[in-house]
Amino acid sequence: MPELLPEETLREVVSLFVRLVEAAGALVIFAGAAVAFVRFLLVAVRRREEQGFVGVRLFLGRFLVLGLEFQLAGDVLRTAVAPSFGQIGQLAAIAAIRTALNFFLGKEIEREGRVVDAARPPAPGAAGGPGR
Amino acid sequence: MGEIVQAVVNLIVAAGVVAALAALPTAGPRTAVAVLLDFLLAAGLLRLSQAQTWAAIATAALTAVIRKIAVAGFSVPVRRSPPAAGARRD
Repeated sequence: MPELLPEETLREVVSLFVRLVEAAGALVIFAGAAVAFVRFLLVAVRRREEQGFVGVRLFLGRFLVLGLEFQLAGDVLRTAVAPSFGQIGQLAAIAAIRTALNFFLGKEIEREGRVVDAARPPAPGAAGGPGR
Repeated sequence: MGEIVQAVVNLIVAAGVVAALAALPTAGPRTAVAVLLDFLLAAGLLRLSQAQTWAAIATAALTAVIRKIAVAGFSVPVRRSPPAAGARRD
């Protein structure tokens, strides 16, 4: 009786998906770094104020978090075909590193976002309005 | 694939150094180092995708931890020591 879905085929398909998802993550990280680099230079030349740099750091951080999410998705996919205990261990270590980085990046973005919000002048109509 | 990733990693590191140098005169050393570490983190994430051995994974993890500690160290506000008793201010 022929196999409906041979394991070798499944392995190849999942491997292709993993490569696509990880490439997407790498692309997001690279694109974020490239755009952030241009924005850093623009802030340095035009605005020349610290808050501008913090804003661009927030922008880069969000891209890094998004790229990490893609890479974590690739890790999850890879667990489907990791055959040996050694490979699973390496996968777990990489996923743990990425999850920790994701967590700390999220915290940092939250903190820097609060700093940027606090430094921003209040909107003209917001001074006498009710507080949330 | 590995060579492309390595080239991109080098590019991001160079971009980080330039961006940090651009930020240094305006925003000060704290922000400049934070900018550099952000770019290095991006490069480290890309390099981690190529890590195949335990040594490479451990190196990536250790590097990330060191960078986080460096960022935390720069985030700590500097406390100025109070002036010594009897010191004159002109």
